[in-house]
Amino acid sequence: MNKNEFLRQLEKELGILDKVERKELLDFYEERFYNGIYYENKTEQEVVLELEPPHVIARNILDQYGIKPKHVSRPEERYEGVKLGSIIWLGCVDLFLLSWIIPTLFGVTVAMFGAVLGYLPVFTLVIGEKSTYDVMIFWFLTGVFILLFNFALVILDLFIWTLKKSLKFHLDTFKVRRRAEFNKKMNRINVDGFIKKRKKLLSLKRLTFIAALLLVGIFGFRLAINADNIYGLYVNQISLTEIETYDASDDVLNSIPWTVDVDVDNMKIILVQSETNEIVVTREYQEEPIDFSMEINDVTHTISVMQEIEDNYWSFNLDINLEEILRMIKPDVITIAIPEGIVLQYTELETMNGTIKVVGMTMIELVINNVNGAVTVESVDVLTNITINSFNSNVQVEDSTGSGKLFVKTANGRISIAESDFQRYELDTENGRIYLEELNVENKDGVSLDAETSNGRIVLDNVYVGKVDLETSNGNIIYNNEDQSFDVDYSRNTGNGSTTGNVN
Amino acid sequence: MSTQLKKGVLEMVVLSKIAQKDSYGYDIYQYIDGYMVISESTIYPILRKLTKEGLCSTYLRESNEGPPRKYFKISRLGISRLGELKVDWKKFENVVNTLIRSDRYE
Repeated sequence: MNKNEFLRQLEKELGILDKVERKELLDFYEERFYNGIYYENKTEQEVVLELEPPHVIARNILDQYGIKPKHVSRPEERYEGVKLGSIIWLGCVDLFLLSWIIPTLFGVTVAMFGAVLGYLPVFTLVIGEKSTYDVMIFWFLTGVFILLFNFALVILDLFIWTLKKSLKFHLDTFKVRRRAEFNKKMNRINVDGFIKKRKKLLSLKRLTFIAALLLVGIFGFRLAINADNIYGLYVNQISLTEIETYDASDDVLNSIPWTVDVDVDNMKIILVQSETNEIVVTREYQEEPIDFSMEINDVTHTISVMQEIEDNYWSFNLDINLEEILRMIKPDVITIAIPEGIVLQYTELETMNGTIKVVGMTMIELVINNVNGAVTVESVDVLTNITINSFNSNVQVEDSTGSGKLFVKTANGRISIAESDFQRYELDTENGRIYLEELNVENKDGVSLDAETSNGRIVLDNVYVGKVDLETSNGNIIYNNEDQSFDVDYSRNTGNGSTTGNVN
Repeated sequence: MSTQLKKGVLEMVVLSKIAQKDSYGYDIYQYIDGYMVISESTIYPILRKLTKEGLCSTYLRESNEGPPRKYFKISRLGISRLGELKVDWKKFENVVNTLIRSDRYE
């Protein structure tokens, strides 16, 4: 500690005294330092060591004023008046920060506990007749809700903490009497502390938490391995159907192109060939979704399936109930069947959670976007490009052609392309393998192929593309061509793995 | 020596030191500390109090060795107060001695 630190700390400790008095006392100590430094050739540190520590000095001094140390512990008990500046500052904080933080936190807290109440309908699973899967789902959800409850408690504490801090801030600004005492009492209010003080409650909380983790783990795993059966079971339970049809015979005759535009939240999308000359749009569902529209427009020749997606994820719409969860397991299915003779124009399919499947189609361009759910493109001929953007999906393209580029990007999933013919390929995944098989076999006219993965192997089998660039951080690269006379400008790079194959 | 006892007489002791010769704070402390061990931090509030009550006055004295120091000089009021205190102390001393002695010989 040097002189300035010492004096500053002493000043702080003497905060209860009025300014003039404090200043005079500090002057003594300043002089005391000069005395040591200039007259006795000591360093600041040496003087500090000679002196008592600031809090002891302060206690001695205040003792002479008849002030007991316990009154001095809080610096805010100064005798100074309320400052206008700090009131304005408080006003600003109130207006711009607390005015929305407190209601928001309150809303979130209520929503969290409301979500916990969503546990009640879970009981219907085990009342009356029940299957093994019902019981499994019941225990899994019990675990989930215990974890949710724990999380809700944390949120509640956060809310209480914010309230306390803002209350203290107000009391301090207006220098309300006895606020130190009040703050102390207030500080004791919090859920975590409440539980920690009661040993039985604490051990109960810990026990249920561990149990919840186990439940989620064990039954989650069992549910996952039985996912197909469960899917079948619940799918067969409820299924409503809505069908829209349009006789497109004339359009087939006059070869009028149509446009398909699908943009939905959590639905499975299937685009297939119709067996008749009718355009058929089918929706299988359990419950009417909000803001949903499905339309075959014979003037603009457009099929559009739209859903207003709530993009505000922070609004905490946590009205979790069993139906919502079942919907995650079993999403609505949109099936669009197009007559064989109809060529589709630019086609865009977009869903958040749901698989997308396109089979047997001729179109100008295809764009697919989703987050979760497999993407399958089969027997699709495009005039230009196919673009697939996904996040957690396996992507499979088979028996398809295009004169432009096949672009696939996914973060966690496998990419497999087979028996297809495009000019350019651009394939990119973070965690997943890339399998390429029988590409451009007939014409051997592929121009370029870029395939990149961070974790996963890359396997090429009979890929006849002029320029191939393969890159993986962890995984082997294998490239074999039956026709070895085909000349490939081949570059590859693997961080941890070997490069094998008959193409070099 | 008991802190409580020291406390009661400290004001008088400080005043008498100033009466002998004008002194600065640390000097007064060192002087008294040579006879009875006291805490430095008790001296300064006393000096402040004495000044405030007009029993002594202060002035800065320049020095070649370092910054000026604040010297305490006893005032006329201080001299008379010191006289009173000394009389009181004598009386007190006698009373206490008597009490202690009677205690011992009883």
